[in-house]
Amino acid sequence: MNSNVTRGALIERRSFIQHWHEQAGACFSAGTNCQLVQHYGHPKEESDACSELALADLSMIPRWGLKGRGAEAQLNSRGLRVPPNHGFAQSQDDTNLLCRLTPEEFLWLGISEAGLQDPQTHESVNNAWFLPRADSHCWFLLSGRQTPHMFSRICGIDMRPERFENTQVALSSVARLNAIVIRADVGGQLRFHLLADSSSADYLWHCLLDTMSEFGGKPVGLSAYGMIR
Amino acid sequence: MTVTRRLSAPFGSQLDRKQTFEFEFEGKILTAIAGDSIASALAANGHWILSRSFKYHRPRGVLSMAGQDANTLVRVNGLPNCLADCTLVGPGMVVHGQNYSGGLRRDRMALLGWLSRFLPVAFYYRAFYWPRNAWNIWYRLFRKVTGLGAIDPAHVAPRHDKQYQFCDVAVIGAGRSGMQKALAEAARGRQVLLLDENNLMGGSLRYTRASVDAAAELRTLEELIDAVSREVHIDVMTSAVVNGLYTDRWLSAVKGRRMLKIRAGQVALCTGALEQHALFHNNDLPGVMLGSASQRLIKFFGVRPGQRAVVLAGNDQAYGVVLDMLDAGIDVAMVVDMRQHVSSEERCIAVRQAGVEILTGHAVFAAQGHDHIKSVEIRELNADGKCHGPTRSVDCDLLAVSVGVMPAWQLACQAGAELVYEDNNAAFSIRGLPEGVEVAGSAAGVPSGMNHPWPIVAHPKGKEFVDFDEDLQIADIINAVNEGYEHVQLVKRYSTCGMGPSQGRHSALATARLVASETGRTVAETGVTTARPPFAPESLAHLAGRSFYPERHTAMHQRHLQAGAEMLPAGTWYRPARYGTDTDTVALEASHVRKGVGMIDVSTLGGIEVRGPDAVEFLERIYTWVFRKLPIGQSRYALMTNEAGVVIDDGVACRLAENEFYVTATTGGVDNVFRKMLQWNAQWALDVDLANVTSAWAAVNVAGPLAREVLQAAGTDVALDSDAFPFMAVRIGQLAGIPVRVIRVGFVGELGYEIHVPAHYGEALWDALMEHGAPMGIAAFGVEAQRLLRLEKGHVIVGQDTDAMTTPAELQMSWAVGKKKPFFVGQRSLQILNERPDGRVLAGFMIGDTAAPMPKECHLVFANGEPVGRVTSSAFSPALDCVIGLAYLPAADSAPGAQFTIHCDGGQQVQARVAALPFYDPAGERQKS
Repeated sequence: MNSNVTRGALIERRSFIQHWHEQAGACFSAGTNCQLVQHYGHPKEESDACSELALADLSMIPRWGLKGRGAEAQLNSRGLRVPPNHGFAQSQDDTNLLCRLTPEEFLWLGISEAGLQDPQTHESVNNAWFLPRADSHCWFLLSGRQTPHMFSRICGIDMRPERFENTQVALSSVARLNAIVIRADVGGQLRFHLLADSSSADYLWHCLLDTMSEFGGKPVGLSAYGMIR
Repeated sequence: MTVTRRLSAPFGSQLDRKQTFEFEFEGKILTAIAGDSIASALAANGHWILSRSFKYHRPRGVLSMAGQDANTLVRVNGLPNCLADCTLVGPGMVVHGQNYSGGLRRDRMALLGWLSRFLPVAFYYRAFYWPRNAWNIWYRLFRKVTGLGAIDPAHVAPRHDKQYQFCDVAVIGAGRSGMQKALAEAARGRQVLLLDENNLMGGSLRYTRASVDAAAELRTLEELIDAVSREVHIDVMTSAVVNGLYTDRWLSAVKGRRMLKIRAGQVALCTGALEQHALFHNNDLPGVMLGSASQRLIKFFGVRPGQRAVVLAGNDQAYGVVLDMLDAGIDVAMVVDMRQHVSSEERCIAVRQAGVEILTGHAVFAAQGHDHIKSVEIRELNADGKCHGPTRSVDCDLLAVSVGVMPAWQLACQAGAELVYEDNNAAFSIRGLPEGVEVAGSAAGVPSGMNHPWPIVAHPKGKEFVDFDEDLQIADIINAVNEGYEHVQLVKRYSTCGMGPSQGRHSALATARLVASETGRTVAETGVTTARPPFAPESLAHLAGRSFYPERHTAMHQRHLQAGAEMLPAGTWYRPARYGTDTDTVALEASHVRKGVGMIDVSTLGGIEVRGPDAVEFLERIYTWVFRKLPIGQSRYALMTNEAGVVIDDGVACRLAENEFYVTATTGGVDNVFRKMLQWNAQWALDVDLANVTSAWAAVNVAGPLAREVLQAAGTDVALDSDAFPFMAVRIGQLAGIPVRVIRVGFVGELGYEIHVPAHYGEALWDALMEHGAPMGIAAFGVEAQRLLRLEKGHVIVGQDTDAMTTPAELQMSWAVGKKKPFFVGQRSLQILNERPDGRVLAGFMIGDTAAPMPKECHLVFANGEPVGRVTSSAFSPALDCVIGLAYLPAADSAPGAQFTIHCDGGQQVQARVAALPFYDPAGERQKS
């Protein structure tokens, strides 16, 4: 196998809904081999929308999965704080999230680590198996106090803040798609991360926009959350 | 003389008298007040006929004023079957009656009423079937006259959607008991959802007269509503009809254009009671209504239901009706009380003190009138409950009936509870509710004294309607029993009683009483028919709601659209079928691949990672061929059979490392393959990890004699010459700066590279190959060209060329089955099947006659006049200049050169000749070049 190759200059990775962003007049900023949506021309309004109902595409931000009976030990060995129970996420010191989807399956959101992130080097390490979540799943962020009401139109899980606690994780169906929903509030702002099959990103994005319209929700760029890096 | 039907405030609690507007009914412009229902607005304008009955086309008007009957079904702005007593009238609304021919007031079809003696219950089961084939004539007529309302095919339903709702306690019904229950639960800190079908809370407190002091009742109502409104733990949802109560307290409700799906920790049914009608001749005449209906008209809508009324009483509640009528200035001519004695309850005393004549021990024998009641005939009741003696006629334009109530038992029944009737006092109760469901208030039971035990008066001329929806009379129920349908459930099905829009709300009890009487059983023994969801009619738009149809797009989807591709659904995926609409598009795309280079998006192919110490052992068991000795960096065809030895999928297994394989599967089959893998390994418990990574990888197949040049031009660190990268090899590297997995496979029979990249890079890969392949003339080709090319190469498509019986041997693929393996799924079945005499074979065929029609998939193959097989694929091959295809043939007749006949469209017969596979490049030199 000719796997020890020298990497050339990688051209841009593209969001699963890049076409929509462009048509919506998105202003982009450079990310790692990709473009990140900064805003859609109304940064102030977008920032204000975050506390009511807003939707952002985080699909270009790193994430990966790890599963197997050795996964927990592998994560511990990397100094990560592993959620003790499945169905919950654990915020790390740098505010990134490690989610325990099942007893032996984990999802990392928002950090890039050499060797684990790259799908080309996913050799097994002590019964821990890499999952290419950055490509298999799109990643959307929903925020604001109207989010649970919006979810009630498309998801059978009770997302009310008093019932779906912060850091809780649900593996459920959203608009008839298998999806991962993670509540991870920031600064008292209700936030939900929604991940689903990347090939249905366009479908899901439009479903969310349509459902949000009842509540006056709007798409926002990452600057609205101060996430542009 | 102008009759003033509107009452001034405080009557008409639901009206906003400052707003009046016009609407149209049957072509007439009428005036309504904001808050009016269609029925109340029509009543205020003197229009009492709302629709015509289903069978005899009798005029029908207000009965319950609560949406509990089918009398008020009208067409509103083109939408049929709207309940006029529940639907608020709006400015400019156009309303029509239903089920008439000619005119609502002069319906030609009303002649059927005169023929009713010839149209007994279930007559249609026995008539119209003779002479032979007569039904084919009759049914055309019946199609024209049956059905309620007319559908406007051009009508576009406005947006409807669905919503999930959650609560600790769902209280159904916001009447007195419902509000009290909600407050009690909220006081315990529980989150309560209080639902009511009406637009205001209060239930019967708003319209019934439980005591003489109406003001005291109003204060009770206001206090309760105020308490509920202030309680933060109670969410109130009015105008929401709960239609279903399912297992684990799962409720469905309709509110406006939304269907709610409610999950409640506990359910309290406070649904109240449904007032019941009495049976007498012409009990369906407009102007004859339930006492509660007349109260609703007066109190909700400020409409006087009549000028001179007779009240038929069977309980004390009727006297509350009389008091309300008197308050509204209605002349109450008489109270006809079916009881022998009037009770000493305060309302009865008040009525007597008001000077209203009360006739006890009597019943209404008949109502008289044509389009509206004009008088009632009254006779004395004997001890058996039958009328006798002289008839007394009383002029009136309103007959209010208040003879009994029944718990609104439907939701409790849906939950599995039983409605219990006590024959000795005509009381009701509910028993057998599941855990977490309770009933309260009138829904929990109706006490003794509320129901007259036999409010049924037969008439020699019939027309005492038991079921208004289906125009069923007393004789119809009795005849059904006499036909041998003695069980009430059989009576329902034979007579259709209770099967109309009102679902037996007013007919179930009367039917049970009649069946009990005819069969010599008690009503308790007879029981009532089962109530099933929905409680109230639901529109198809509600059920359809906002439906979700997930779609899957590849990373290159936008590029396909920009290139003018015609997209083809493949399961939930969308694939480019062809790029253009010209008739020769597919042939040109195929030719491009054969002569130059083409590129197809194959991202939809399934991708499964099989990893771990037992990965090889797993593949050995799950696929038919052998993988143990497959070198790293090589791939092998992978055929999957089920336990019966039937081919269910195929793909390619690539060995990326000693214990790591990347396996492809068909677009439509990968989910099933992955499921089967998980299922089998749950039993085998091999040390292997399985991951469905289909969406994580985008892929293209660059195929054609110039394919290598395209990859070279794009720039790659993968050595591409045939020695370094032979057919069926796998390489990992970069292409155009993108991390790739490249497999040298040749589904279309040319030099080809299947390039897999992380999905985010898919579009960039497509762009790069198009750009760098331009000098070589690269062009995209779609699924249709691919199918043609693979057919020329004789490759099968699992699902198209296979069926639920196909074995590898039938596909001539025994070479893909490991003979020396100890086990694989389906092996034992194949060993048995292979012992059997020759069966069928999927063989290639060619048709030399260029003028012959093209066979299609599933056209039959005939031999000696008998069907012996079928075509699975066929197409015109530009490369071979003739029609080629695959067909199942008897093995004995499948030798190359054998002739057979295919029956094509229109019975045309085409001669075909068996040809050896593959048709194209039999030595495989092109794909290995």
